[in-house]
Amino acid sequence: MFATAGTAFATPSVEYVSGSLNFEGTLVQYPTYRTHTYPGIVSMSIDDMVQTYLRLGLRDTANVQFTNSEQWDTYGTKHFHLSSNGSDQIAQGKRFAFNGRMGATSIHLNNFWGGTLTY
Amino acid sequence: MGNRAGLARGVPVLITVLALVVVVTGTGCAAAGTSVAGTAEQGQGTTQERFLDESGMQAEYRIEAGRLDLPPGVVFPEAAPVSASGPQSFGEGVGLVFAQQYWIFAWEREWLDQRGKDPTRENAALRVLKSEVPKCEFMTKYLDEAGRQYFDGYVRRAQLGDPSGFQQDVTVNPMSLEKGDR
Repeated sequence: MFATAGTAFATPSVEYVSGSLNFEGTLVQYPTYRTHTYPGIVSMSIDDMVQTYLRLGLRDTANVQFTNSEQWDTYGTKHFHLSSNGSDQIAQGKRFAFNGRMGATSIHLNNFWGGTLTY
Repeated sequence: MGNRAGLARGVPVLITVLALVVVVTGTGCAAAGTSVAGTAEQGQGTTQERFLDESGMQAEYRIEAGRLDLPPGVVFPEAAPVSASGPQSFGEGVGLVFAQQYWIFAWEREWLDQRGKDPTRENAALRVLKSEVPKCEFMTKYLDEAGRQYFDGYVRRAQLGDPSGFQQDVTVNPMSLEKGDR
């Protein structure tokens, strides 16, 4: 896919990502880190929804969420924006993990989410 | 979507830490195992993850931080930072991953700072970055393949005397190092 480490990939990485959340609506921090190798946006196309709304944000290596949280009320594609200035341009080489939460509910039917991450 | 294993939809996730077991790997990094009620998974393939509460995550962090050697004059923070206040859950590995990323960053910073000034410290830092970091659990379990290839490229450049790789990494993925004596 690319020859020289530290340079941009020819095409974005695409990966199916899924997880579960707390019905209580509290934040979940996931441990897997990914590397943004393609200059530009990081997008998520959700095709598997929790029963309420879904919110996801990106966390950096210092455990700080560096993007705004994006909210899905139904299936669809969104991309992440930097908390600092609202830009959707995320630096090449940036490592990130997911933070997530769902809308709180006392009816425990579905706390799973999934979608295609392009980065 | 076909990549979940052993999880039933609608099962509420409980966040009760039952035990903490330390597995010493002998590679300069440790694997902290935990037993909790409730499971979750996320990301690459079928790996199951378990949730910890904040005390469980911090215990994981402290155990790992206690096993890792930092460059002279750098110490680990008392606690791993968290992204938000209030109740929250952490996938198993969040505490360990923070400790190991802090450790990697500290040695990258050490190599950059000592390069051309103190050959002994410069060489010691590069030895850690080349020989120990690639074996640690963050690299082998919690980081994607692209990230591993990037890091390998940074090491190769450093061995040729080129600091641009590590310089890029500490710029794009900054962390605040705490100074002090151990």
